[in-house]
Amino acid sequence: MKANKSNFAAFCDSEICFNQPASTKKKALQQAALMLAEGTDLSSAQMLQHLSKREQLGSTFIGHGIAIPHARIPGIKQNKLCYCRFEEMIDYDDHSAQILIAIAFTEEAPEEHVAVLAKLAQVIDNKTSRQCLLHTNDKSEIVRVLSPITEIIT
Amino acid sequence: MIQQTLSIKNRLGLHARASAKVVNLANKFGSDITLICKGKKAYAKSILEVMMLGAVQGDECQCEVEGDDETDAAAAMRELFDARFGEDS
Repeated sequence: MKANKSNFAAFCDSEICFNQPASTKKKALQQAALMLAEGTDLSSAQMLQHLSKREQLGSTFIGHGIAIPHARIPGIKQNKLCYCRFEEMIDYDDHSAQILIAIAFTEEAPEEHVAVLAKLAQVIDNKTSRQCLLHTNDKSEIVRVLSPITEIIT
Repeated sequence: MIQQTLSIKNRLGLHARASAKVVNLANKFGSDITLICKGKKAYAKSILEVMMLGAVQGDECQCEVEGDDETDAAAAMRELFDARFGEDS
């Protein structure tokens, strides 16, 4: 089935945070879960459970100090993206991560899921957009760089 | 060099976890392993590049393997794809 528009909740300033305190992967995931749960019927604890369960299957650390925790979440109606940068490097499965780009996916639409991840990988792989993700303190820049991910149509 | 065609058989395609399995397996070999899918080319030892293929169920990837252990590496890659990356469906 082809969807004719993207299935993402709006990605704006409220889905972005800088300089969050977090000393462990668990605390970092808690912060991401809190942001992802906002506006859904899930509690942040439930969201954390989904993200943690996915991490147990394999780390979502992806290089360049970035991890992409994500999960398929039963019951959510739209995909949701959030960006979180921490004050310090976190030990993320024996890698150093400072940024989480987290996604809550609806359960179905595997083609959309893969297309979104492919676009995210492309953004992180691109040096210019990666430098922005790593260093900018301007939320509108993060919105500009990550928005294409939320505009995927499959 | 060994060239082979590998099919994406699992329902979810080359999502992040399946991509990580490809990369982890590729890293066990010294050979260079390249995947080409829908006109895009990925070095199989790079998680970002493998994910960027955006390969979904039904897609075919050309897999090129070159190096001292290319026979074993090619066979292992084929086995992983045929096993649906360890997924049930």
